[in-house]
Amino acid sequence: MIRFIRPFRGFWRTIKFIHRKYKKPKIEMTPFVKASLLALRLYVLVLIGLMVLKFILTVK
Amino acid sequence: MNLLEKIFYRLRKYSKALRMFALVAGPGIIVMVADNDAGGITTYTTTGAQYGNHLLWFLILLGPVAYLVQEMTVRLGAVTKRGHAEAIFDSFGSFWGWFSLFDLVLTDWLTMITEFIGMTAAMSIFGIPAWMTVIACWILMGSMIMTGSYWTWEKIVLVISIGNLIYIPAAFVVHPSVPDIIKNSVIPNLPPGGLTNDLFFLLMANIGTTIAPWMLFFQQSSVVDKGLQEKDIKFGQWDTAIGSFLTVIVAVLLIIVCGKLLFGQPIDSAAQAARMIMPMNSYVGTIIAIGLFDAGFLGAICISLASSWAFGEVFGWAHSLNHKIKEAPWFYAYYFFDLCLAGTVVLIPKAPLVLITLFVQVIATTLLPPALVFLILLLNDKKTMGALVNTRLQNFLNISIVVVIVVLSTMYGLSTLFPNLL
Amino acid sequence: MHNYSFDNSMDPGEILNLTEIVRAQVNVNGEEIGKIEDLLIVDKDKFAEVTHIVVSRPFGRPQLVVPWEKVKSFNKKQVVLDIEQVEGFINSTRGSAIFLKDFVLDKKVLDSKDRELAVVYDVGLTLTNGKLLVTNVDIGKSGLLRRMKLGWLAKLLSKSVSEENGDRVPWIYIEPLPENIGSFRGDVKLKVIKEQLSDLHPVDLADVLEEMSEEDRIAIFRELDTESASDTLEELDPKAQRDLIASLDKERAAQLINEMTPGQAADLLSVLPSWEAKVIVELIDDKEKATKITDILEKQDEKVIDFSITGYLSFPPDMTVEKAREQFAEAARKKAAITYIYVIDRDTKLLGIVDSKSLLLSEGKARLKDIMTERVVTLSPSATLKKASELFARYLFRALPVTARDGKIVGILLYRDVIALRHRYVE
Repeated sequence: MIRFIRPFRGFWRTIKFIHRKYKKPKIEMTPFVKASLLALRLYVLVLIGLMVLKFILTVK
Repeated sequence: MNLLEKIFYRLRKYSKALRMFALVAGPGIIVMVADNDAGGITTYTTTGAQYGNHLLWFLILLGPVAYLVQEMTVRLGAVTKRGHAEAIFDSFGSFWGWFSLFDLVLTDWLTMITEFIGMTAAMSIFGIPAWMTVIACWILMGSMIMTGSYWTWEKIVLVISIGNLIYIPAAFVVHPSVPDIIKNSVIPNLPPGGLTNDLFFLLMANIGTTIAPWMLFFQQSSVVDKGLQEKDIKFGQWDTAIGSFLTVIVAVLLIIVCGKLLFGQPIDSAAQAARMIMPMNSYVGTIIAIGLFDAGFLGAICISLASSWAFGEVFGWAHSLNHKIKEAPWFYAYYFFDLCLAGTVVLIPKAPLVLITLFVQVIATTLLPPALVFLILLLNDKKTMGALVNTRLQNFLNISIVVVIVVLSTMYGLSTLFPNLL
Repeated sequence: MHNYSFDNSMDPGEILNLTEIVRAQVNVNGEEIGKIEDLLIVDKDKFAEVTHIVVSRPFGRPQLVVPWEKVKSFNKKQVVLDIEQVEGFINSTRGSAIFLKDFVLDKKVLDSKDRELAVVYDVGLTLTNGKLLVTNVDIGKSGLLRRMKLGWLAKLLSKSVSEENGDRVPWIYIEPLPENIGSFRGDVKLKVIKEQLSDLHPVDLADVLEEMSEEDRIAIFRELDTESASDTLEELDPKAQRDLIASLDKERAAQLINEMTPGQAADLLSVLPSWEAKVIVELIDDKEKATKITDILEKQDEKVIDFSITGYLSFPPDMTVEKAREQFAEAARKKAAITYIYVIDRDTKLLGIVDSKSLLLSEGKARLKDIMTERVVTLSPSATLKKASELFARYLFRALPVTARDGKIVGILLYRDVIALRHRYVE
């Protein structure tokens, strides 16, 4: 069992490593960049929200 | 200098430019031609069959749009010498990095499936069973990247790209009405009936097939793999411009052919179009079928490479076509994995293929805005781009494009999810 | 250090054309690995030295950049590299290296006033003591014809070999290549203006040559045509003169000396071992000049006639000033002394002297006989150098005419031949 999991554990470690490596955005945080990223977050949230809504409506 | 000397000087300069162009050209032409993939061909045939020549102007307009967007990846790649995935991780942090990578992988998988659908459908016209097509494609696509040389790979793919131009003779065979074509190419107009849900859907599909996230990732990574330098950017731009010209030519000619032969008939795939045209004009029918296969083939190679490169960049695997399989095992492994996954899905009996095709388009279009916004932000980062940041004109054009696409795709997303809303 | 074993079949002084070199195949361990694509150079102002060769390989394999030290043998057809592993030389970083073919060939050539003169049709290189030096650029018509695959026409048109090489501009006359030079940017700029191109300053050239290492100096010197080589040779210091003459074959040395005044020739030859000087003098075409030179060398005579030259300007007395001015430039070409115009009659009798300043300032309609100085200080052929130097010291003339007893001019004596030379004949 452990032998089976081991490669995945390595994979998980890699993911964590990448996550740490790119923790901090390196781009210069000008107001324009900040505003754009915020808008993007909203866009994605609304998109997910809509899909969830659609799912709920469909299930009903 | 006398005239002869001046002529000599000019000629040498041009021939040198041409030689250097020949060295640099490749990524732009390949990505643009591959952009007319199986899904694209289907979209164009549908557009032609439903609206005839009416939407030609829109397709022509998409040419410069595709150029403007893709050109940014050339600069980004040549300056930063790193692929798009790595650039996003590095600049926007791991949240947006994972988001983009996930976005790319998902759309790539789904698009790969449509490529295999296209290829198997095209070959079935010639009586070849699906499993045979899939296995043949696996062998061909597998063997062509194993040369361990970007150069060889690129030359092979360029030859396949030329196959995409097979639609050009088809347009001459059907004798379309030239004045009508010119009129519809130059004057933007809506087809009779106005802006219906169907038309909007088709316009979005056309945008989605011309600008796609995988294209950004693919071109930037191949620019890096090819080793383009800042001094090569001008040639890379020409490369992209010529590619976008070719992609528009193919799209326009295909619409003209289908508009002439299939006008008013309901079509939902290019393979179906080829089948219907076959009795009318067997040449054109064959051309469309071969072209569809070629498009799917080219698309599949590029798309799976795009995600292989992206994974390689992020996970730190060796990721270059200049590596042998032994030197970059994960890079090639993912490429094959992508191929096998998509091919297998197509072979599953009663897989919901039409649904998948539709789903691909929705996902791809709604996930396009983040990719474009990232691109613009990256190209405005003085720290990395130096003197090659977007100019004011480039920013104006590109931001306009992004805003239009964001608005359209939001509307599109809404109308697909809630058809009764509009 | 590496031992060079260059092809003995090749004359080390031969000019290699860049356009010929770039087709050469490159061999490693007896196997062809590619072709020469370009040469990397370091521009050292006075010449440029090839530091690396760029090798292009088939099937899109990356180019190699191999340091010149690794070149085992080099000629137009084949280059053999002494390297073990090809992979170590794959180098994509370009930095500030100058690619000779990419950056210099086919560039516009501007003169120092930014007028477009021609195009760099070719670049001449010379192999000297195991170094490959860029020594000149070809900007001539024959270069253009050769590049247009009309080399046979160029040969037909140029009557002699020297003319074929006449349009090559030594690298010393090229400004340091611009910083921003690239594949499509930057022009090659000359230090001289168009008009001077046919007459590059020997004095400058000599100064530059003196600063160079011996081998470079010899390489550059070989490039010069007879006239400027001769002029340059006069201006060098004795040590450099001796080295250069020793490096030339005797016929060439005699050719160069033939171009000089007897005084200068003797001066130059006096720095050589006497047996060598003798051999060279015997090879001189102009027998009269040879005799003069021998006379001076052997100190049998110190008469001014041996030092006199005939390269002076002479016009008839009835010529108008206007006409004289028109003809001045043409007549002055190739003359050693142009400060004075000697006015002579049909029997070459010296009537007077017009200096070039008064020629310029006088009215156009006037005749030369109206403006000339009739009281001329002259020397007789049998006058001694001592006498001549006294006259020069007193009058500060640049040149003195030597006239026979009947007043006919037999030559002129240059100030520099008497005073400026280092000879030991004036006490």
